[in-house]
Amino acid sequence: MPDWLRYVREHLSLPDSPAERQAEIVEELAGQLEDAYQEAIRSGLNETEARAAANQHVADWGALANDLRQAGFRQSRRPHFAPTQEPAAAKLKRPPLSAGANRAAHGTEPSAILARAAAIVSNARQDLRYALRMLAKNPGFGSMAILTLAIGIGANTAIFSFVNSVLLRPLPYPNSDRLAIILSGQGNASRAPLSTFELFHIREQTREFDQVAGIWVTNGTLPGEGDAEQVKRGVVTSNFLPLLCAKPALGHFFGSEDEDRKQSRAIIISHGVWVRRFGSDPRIVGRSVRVGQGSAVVTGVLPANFRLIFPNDASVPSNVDYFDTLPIDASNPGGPGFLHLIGRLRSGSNLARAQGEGDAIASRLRSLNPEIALSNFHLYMFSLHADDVREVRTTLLLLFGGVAFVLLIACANVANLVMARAMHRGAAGRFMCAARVMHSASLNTTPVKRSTAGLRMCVVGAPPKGSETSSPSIRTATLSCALQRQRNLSNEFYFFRSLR
Amino acid sequence: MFNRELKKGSAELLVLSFLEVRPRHGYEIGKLIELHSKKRIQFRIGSLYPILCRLEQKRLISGRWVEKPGERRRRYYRLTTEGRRVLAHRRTAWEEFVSTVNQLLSTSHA
Repeated sequence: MPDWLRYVREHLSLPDSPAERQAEIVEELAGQLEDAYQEAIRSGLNETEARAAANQHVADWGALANDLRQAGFRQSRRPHFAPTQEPAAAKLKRPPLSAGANRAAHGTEPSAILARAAAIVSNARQDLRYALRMLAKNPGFGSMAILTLAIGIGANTAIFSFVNSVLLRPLPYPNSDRLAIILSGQGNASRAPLSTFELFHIREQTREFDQVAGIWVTNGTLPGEGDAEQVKRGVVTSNFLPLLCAKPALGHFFGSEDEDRKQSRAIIISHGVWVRRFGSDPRIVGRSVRVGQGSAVVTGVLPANFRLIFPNDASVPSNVDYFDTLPIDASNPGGPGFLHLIGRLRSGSNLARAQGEGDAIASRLRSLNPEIALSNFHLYMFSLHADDVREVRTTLLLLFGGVAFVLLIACANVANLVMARAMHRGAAGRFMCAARVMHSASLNTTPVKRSTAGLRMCVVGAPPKGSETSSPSIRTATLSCALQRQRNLSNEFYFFRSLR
Repeated sequence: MFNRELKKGSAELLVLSFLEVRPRHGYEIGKLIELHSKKRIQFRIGSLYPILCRLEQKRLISGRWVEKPGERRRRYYRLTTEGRRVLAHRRTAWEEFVSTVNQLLSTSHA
């Protein structure tokens, strides 16, 4: 069969028309000449006679070019498979633009930006309409593609939501990236709590931490009047809560004087206790309430969203009902280790430097206490967030990688289906595909369009323009040949690129 | 075959009228004109295509590429709202013109 595209290109000269419009004109004329040729063949003419009959349709190419020039070169509003980039040859021929023209050409003028935005919206609307139409035409293919992608995307979304909330989202504390947890290693225990004596010396000697605080959670009795109820009591150093919370909902945090038990006992209650036990009394601050066998003064109420986030093995629950202060005993080197320490790194410091300092402090503590010297006492510093998720991190990342592969496989399957359908059109399809690469699209446009078919499918649920096929059903033979045909397409593409 | 000027004067009207019912591609329009006129009016591709371009430029018709299963893509043209209005107007004008000419031709000028 004659190469009508080449024939028209060789005869029709429209140098003053836009390259994209020129390509459309050539393609449409070539198509009509091919129709005339096929009709002549069907009427019984041989190839030479049919070709001559088709050629007679345009006797004077110069007159045709002139007529087209007079008719104007209105660009089609949205070519379905027309190039979005002009051919390289046209770019080479284009004279250099002035600065203003260059700015306008590249869309940096406000009006150009608005025009481009309007064009994008218009194209998106047309794409959507087209996709819905194609979906209605080929419900089987569309449904299968949507289902395939929905499984991949759904799995990814679900796992990513979990990964995001657990691994990626920062802890709900001010400057949470500077929070570290401090643990000790003694004997066989590598994540042991520390004593008040050790806390005192760490506080005294550290230069890498702005603050170091400790907490121990035990059981207590619900403060206030009414029936006794066992609740969680947090025994903390006075600087613990300011380390994790910007400010209380009511009242104020502990002061350093509250660590002195000779003063009256002070407590800070959780928002839940304030609501449940004290009816959200706004005058609760400063009130003396019963706590266990004694009494205490409520100095503050924590915000409703405040919660503690510690590693599971620290035995620190997320909700503690009330906090009171812990007296620091710096006189007993052999005191029990029960405190879970956290520290805020000073600005500019990092965990490695803090760990180096911790080694030095541990060495000095060993010299102060022969007992812990024998147990090979060490201090370990970890990021609070990283330590909190250390047990699930690897599993989650592997799971996330796994579902990413599921999505990749889903996309590859849909892309293969689209490719198989496109190639299933037979010789005409391959011819047009190659012709578009040669003639209208830029060198990389067609493969890119093919490869983004799956992406478009996941948005609008139908194959991209240019990928329509004859059969609404997906044939088994077609599926089995998909890979072979994909390779054929690549061969054609590179063959025609080399020709060009 | 009719006089070339007669054909030229009615070409746009013919194309618009063949697009009134449904969108058609360029070669189909030419073949339909040929078929319905019993080959007395024929447009070659080189004549018809500039007419389509001109009508599209005037926004009386709009073309879009359509692919059908197993075929290469074709550019289908349809009447725009303005094209439909212009067709109605031209059709009336043409009928009046033909009627007037017929009336003149049938009148004895003796």
